[in-house]
Amino acid sequence: MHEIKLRVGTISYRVASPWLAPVAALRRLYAGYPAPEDGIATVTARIGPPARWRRWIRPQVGIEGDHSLPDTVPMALRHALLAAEMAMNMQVALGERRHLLLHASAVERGGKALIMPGESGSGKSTLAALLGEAGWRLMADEFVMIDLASGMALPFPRAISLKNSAIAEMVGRIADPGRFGPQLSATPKGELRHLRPNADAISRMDEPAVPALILFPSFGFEAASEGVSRSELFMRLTEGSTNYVALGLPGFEALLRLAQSVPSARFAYPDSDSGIAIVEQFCAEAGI
Amino acid sequence: MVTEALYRSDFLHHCRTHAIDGMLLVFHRPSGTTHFLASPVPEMLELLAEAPSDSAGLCRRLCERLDVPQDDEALAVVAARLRDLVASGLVQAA
Repeated sequence: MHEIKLRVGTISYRVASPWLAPVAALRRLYAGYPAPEDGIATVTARIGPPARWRRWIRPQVGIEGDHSLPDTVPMALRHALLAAEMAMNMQVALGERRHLLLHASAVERGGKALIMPGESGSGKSTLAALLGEAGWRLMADEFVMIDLASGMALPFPRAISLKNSAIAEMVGRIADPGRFGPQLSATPKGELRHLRPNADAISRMDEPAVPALILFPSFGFEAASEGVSRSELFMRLTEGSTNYVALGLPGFEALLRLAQSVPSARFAYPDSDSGIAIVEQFCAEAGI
Repeated sequence: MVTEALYRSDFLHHCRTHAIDGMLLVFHRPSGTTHFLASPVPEMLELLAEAPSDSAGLCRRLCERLDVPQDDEALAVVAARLRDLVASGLVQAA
């Protein structure tokens, strides 16, 4: 079994696979990330053949680990890096109990966090990746962790999952090709390429930020925006949290604190430049 | 002879509540569920917490409190919401 151990914010991973290639790809993608404290990983993610012969014959990877879902579909070995990333995400989505998880990206400036919840395709990852290269610090691209006691947003700067048109967009803006993973074609999520966050995001992965603004992006529409009421904000954040129910009352209190104290709006945008302009306008109004 | 069920609620002891946007946000500790309650449901819970009632008695007290006419429509609404509240565990039928 080949393995890599690394720490991303509060999560210490061990990712293991009987194949060397996906582990080697993870090592390249996560170059510069710290090792777990004392070398002890608290979360194990695995990718392995769903049946013994699938290691050799038309090889397939299944997503496994401490926690698993019964209906995950195995993928072709050439998509093993995506499977590894999904396995790492799944462990956090199903196993995290110390923090409230929001399905959102986040960036920080001046100690204040802009949180962008959204479904796949909303543009939250791409916007966070763009802002992370334009004066903001990338905190998270998929999961924002909220500290239950303090209400602070904690960084979880995993590799950013760029999809379809976002790939060329980021390749055109980032000079260092070494930050990109291999291009994965015809995956269940379409064209896909991972991007390692920049050195600032990695070196400051233990630096929390105060949630200051929550924006719900929708990519691919004419520019428009409107406020989100506190009750709708509460409801939409619970819908996007994989561990809200499991956390019980502490999760309720943490979410209520967010909904009561953080201004929120939704906006639609047709392209990246207008998206960034709308975000910056909201941030100026919110004092970020 | 059919006896009308008596309904009671101890939601004040079992719930964390918060008023938000004209609704009542409720976290029900025993079930771990979260509810958004719109009028007249919070008022129904308050009345049942004050004193148990059957459906007709609750409807009478509710209509008095909200200053609305007590008619068949009010009776139907109260009966339907009571069924929801019993299913959610916020109200107990005795």
